[in-house]
Amino acid sequence: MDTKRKVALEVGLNVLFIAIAIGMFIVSKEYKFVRGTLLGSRTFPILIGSIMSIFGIVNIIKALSVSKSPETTTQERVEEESSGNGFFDFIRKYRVAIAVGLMVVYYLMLWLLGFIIATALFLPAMLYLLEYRKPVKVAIITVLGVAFLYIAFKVLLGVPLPGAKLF
Amino acid sequence: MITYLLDGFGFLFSTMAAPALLGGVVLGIILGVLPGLTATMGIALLIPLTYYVSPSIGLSMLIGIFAGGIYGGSVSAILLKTPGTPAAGATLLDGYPLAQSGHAGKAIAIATISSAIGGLIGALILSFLAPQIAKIAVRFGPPEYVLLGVYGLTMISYVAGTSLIKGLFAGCIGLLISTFGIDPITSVPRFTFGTLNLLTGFELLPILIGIFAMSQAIEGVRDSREIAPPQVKLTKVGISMKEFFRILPHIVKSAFIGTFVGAVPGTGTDIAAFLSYGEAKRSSKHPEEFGKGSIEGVAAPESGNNACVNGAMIPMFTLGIPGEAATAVILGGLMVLGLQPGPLLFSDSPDVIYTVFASTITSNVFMIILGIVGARFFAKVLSLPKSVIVAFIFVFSVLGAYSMRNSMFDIVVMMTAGLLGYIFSILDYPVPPVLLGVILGPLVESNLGRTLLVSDGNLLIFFKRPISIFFILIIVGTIGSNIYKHYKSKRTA
Repeated sequence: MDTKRKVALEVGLNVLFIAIAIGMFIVSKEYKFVRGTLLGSRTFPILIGSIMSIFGIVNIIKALSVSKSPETTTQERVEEESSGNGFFDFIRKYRVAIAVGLMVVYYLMLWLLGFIIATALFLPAMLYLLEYRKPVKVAIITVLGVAFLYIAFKVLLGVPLPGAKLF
Repeated sequence: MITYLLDGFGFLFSTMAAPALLGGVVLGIILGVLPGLTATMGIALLIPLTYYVSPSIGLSMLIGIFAGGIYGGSVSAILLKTPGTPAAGATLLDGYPLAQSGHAGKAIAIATISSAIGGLIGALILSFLAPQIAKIAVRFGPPEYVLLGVYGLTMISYVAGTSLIKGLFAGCIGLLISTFGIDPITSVPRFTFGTLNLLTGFELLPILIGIFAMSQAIEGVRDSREIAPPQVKLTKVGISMKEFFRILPHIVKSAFIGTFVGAVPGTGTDIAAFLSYGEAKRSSKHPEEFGKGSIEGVAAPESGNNACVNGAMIPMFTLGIPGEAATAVILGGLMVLGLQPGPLLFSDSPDVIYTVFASTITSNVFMIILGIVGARFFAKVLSLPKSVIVAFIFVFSVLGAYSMRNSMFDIVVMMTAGLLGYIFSILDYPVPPVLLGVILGPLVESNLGRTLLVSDGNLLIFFKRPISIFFILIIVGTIGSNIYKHYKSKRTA
């Protein structure tokens, strides 16, 4: 990741948590102090939120000063070699974002279709993303993997697995 | 105490605890062998399974993963010049040159024997020292627990990595997460937004799996295009008696160094390994061989890092203070199993704690057998397709997060924590302080509340008790020395 994007990400991360701390200040107004003391449900969150906000501001200032420094604005991006296929190049370039997207889809599938079907769809998709694309091996890994997880968790340990909402 | 320990061995070998320990050691070695996967991640993923067996069995498995994982890192360090774990960083300095010169089997044998003997010495020290510390710690009242928690939080300055501020920011995130749910003193539901999912706050396990396993899986996707270096061929595994007696003094000395380093919260197996390596080089009759394939250079760090595993459990079990990532995760595992880490663990659950001690001792015996007999198998693990392992880590993470409360909400928490952990790794923010904050937050807050109630809000109570004053001095000393260390390292940079 190049420096500019890193700085933007760092600033964004710190701003997000400062905003969460401010939100917690506002919400914690509802909680009362124990009469005559500084003790109460709001004491600890306010204390920690304040300290965190200060550190967050320091981090933002530091990150912005790094981005302005001429020595650190060099591009760190390493170009991936082209495979000659636009689709392959796209998923290779954005594989982390696609993996996160796949996880979100997996979550929704677990909720709607249950563990077995969702995992049987997720594993080949993730393996494809990771460029493991031997169809027979992928099929065997998926079937054995789902069977192993089902037997280990559900049958042997008695752990309930996510069930389907659709049927 | 000896009776308790013998009972621990009795329980270990009369139940499923011994097979669980053996399985843990095997799994730990496999995870340690594979570069990029750590024992910490393995422990985080396996904690949900321990929830469904007795605490002794579950903890035995986690102990096995920890010990096996630290040893396993040496295999890839020797054969690939890539340490499987940070703890094996010092091992590759001499392990890889030794393997390159056609003695890969000898290097593996030295690493195995040294890890097992070092671990065994560390485990014996743990078994006999920890109960004595617990006897002192049992006298602690709420003010001492507040300061103990604060002392634990000062460890953030040790695990903060390159930036102290980033580490403290991460620690505050953990503390803030711990404030969700019912307030421990006033019983007021905080930040629940009307949902039952947040009434008891965020569960520890999904956070733990997210930041230590899921984030590593995402890193695995990012690094999936990296090409693995060529592997050195494994020769006959073994060493001569002459070589054994040459390395033995270094193994014993490094075991004591490793245990001591581990017992100091905030240090870690990598520090123990490099300190042991340095001491071995200083005291060796053949210092010129170091860096070129010295057998002492393999033995010392391996003994040191495996002894450190046991040393790190001393403050964890006796004080409830996790010093580094893996012990923090095991501590989380104890809490998930309904056990409160700290001095009371020794009086409330002696059966569990002494079975764990028996496990730490036995894990080293398993390690030496597996390491010598199964060396070829573990070397083959290096050729496993990493993409398949990464895909399964995603699925395990989801199952692990779901299994504790059968809650889809916990999967969302795990995914969010995983994404946060990944962003942290990109930006060089340390992850362990988040966990320290989540674990120690409730300890500090609840005991601070109790202390202020007892003292009518008077903070001077902290300065009226000898143990409190002792802790205050340690805290001030720790913070002061770390600020100085960071300031000094910045000036020299």
